[in-house]
Amino acid sequence: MNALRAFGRFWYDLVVGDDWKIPVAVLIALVTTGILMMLGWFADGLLTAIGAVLVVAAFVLSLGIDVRRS
Amino acid sequence: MGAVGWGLIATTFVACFVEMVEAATIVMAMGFSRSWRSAVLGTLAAVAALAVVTAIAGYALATWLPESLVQLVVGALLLSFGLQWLRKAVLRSSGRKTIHDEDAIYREELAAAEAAGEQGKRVDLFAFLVSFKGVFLEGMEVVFIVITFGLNAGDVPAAVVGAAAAILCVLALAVVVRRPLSMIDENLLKYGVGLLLATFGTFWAVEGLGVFREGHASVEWALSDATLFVLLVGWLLVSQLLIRVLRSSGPAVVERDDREQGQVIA
Repeated sequence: MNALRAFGRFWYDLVVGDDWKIPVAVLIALVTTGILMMLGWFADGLLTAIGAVLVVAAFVLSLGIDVRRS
Repeated sequence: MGAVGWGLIATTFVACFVEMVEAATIVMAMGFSRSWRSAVLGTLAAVAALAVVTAIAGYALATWLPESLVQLVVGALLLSFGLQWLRKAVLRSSGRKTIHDEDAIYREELAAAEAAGEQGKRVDLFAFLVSFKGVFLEGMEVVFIVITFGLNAGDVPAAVVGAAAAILCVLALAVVVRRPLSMIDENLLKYGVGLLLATFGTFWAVEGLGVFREGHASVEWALSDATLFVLLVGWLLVSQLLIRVLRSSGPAVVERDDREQGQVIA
């Protein structure tokens, strides 16, 4: 059981790291971009630009939450 | 070789360099305080285990998943890694997080090695296991970067060359200076790697969203590979802006890592 827990902990540390808000921010930005893609409102060029802006915005937001808390 | 190829080598080199500096600190502490033989054996065993993981994970990713899905999974993972590194760099540079201190880590490892007591065997199990764990854990992130960059750029050998060159550089430095490599500005290197990972991660993750549309064709960036430069400059500007804003916004509350001690960057 301890080995299983250590294995899980290792992967959590590797993928999530010490701030869970970052992967959540990445997920939200990508899901939003994916939804916009499925709606078909934008051509690829504009969609990718929106995706990049969303990723940056999600990162800034997660860092902002960190700083406000501290 | 194009922008992606050079970016690939530069990123794997710097990422591997940073992680190996941290691993070298642990191995040197075990070597100087307990047994060089056991520390080197532990290091070799970890490198062999990492090679096996690289081969299996690389084969699985390349064989079983469609290209756009690999781009999405890899891009999302790189973004997660890269933004964690960038977050730490921004917090450190703005004085809100303690900087990584190899000397302090070396002292910690040395104290733990001395507290563990003598073993009097051919292979000192403590030195072996601590060296193995240090190299394996630090190396796992590099393995992911090498596999993911290599597969997405269609050039695994270039990624391996970048990582291998970094390992040789760190080994040569460690042999020459014979003490923790604290003279290296690890925080600056991590900032650079964070920028590169965030850049490539954004590029590939957004491209990979195409897996959800008919035909699974990747989403195309308007400037193709040249977009990488635009993204890099964008992440650089955003991170510098964040550093300036955080520096000027009142007194800093310093966040400390469990593993990382030291002074705050002014």
